[in-house]
Amino acid sequence: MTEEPIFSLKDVTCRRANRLLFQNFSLDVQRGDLLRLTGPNGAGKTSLLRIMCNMLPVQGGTIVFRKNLSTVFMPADDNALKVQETVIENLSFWQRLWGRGNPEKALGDVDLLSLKNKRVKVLSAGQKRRLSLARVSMSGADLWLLDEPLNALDSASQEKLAQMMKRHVTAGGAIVLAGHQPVEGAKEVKL
Amino acid sequence: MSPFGAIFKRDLCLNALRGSEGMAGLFFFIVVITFFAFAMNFNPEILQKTAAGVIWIAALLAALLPLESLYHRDADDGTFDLLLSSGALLLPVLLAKMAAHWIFSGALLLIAAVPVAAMLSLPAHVLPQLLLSLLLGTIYMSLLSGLGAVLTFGSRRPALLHAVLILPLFTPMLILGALAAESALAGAPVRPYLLLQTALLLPALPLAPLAASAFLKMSLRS
Repeated sequence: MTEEPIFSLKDVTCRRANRLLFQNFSLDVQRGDLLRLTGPNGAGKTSLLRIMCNMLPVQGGTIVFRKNLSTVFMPADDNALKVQETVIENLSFWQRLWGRGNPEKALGDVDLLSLKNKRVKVLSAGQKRRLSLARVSMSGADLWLLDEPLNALDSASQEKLAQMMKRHVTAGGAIVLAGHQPVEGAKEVKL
Repeated sequence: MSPFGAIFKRDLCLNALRGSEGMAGLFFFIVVITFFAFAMNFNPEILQKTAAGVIWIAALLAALLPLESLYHRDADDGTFDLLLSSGALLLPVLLAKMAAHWIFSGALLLIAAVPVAAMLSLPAHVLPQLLLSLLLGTIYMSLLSGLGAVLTFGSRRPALLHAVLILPLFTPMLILGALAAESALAGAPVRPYLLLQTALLLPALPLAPLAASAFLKMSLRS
């Protein structure tokens, strides 16, 4: 018997600023799925991720998701990091807010533990990206929605991210990401 | 820790880390009143007559200064997006921000009002009534400032738009607050003005955060 999807989009239409991005788009996300949205610039990949985390309304179609499904979204540009704070302070804030997660373990997963007491303003773009990924992994959310997660990451960090994502889907989570670079083990979904 | 506690604590720490920028409202309040006293040649008669109005106007304008660091940066760096996408309730988030705004624009000004009132030659017996009316007024201003900040997200000139939208709503509180201090100075009853100030504040306490969270959700989802 096929498992029920944890998140389902049926015949969804998205229009932004009077421009049709996509219509009648359907997608089922199941536990253990690692999906990569592909398509040219402006096809609506980011908009689709924002729809999936209830940050954009749709103009048609239905969205069904499992009760108590938790999601976390990582935007492509804005890191939601406070540069005046240290690396560990940034993560500790979200731990207090969400009431879960282990900042030190999350930093270890992305090789940033040695920088935990550094202010975020001295980090490179790639290190900030890894810190954002550490926050995603710390969130404990079932469904990760990642917009261009490989941006600014070197090959070693990309490898780390691939391992992190594999651990998440193996543990029963799901990931939908948007990006132009291929990700090992990811099923492509064309927009 | 509750979402309210987490946001409140972080906003206090961040504003303190921002140093002079975080304390801009307090500096503005003291500088404006000091300059006014200089302009009046420290003439005690003129200063005493105008003290209540000057303190209230300086407090009102100082309340606008922490908005950039408390609200607009979170909108610009994606913090609000992350809060919404992770299912956090926006109402406690905004309540915490309004409370943090009050600490930096209300509580600090209340402390500064004591020496400032002395500089403006206000007699000591007026001080308790002045502080009480400022307490009510600054809470009201923090609530409405939060609402105004959310309404101006995405605007190219948020400060100007905020002034146009929200400053007129401060007017009744400004008039009542100044009248309360003037009545205290003249030895007339202050209670009616304080009650009217409370009557303005009470509906704003639940309505401003509720309206702000609804507008914020709408703004993030557009």
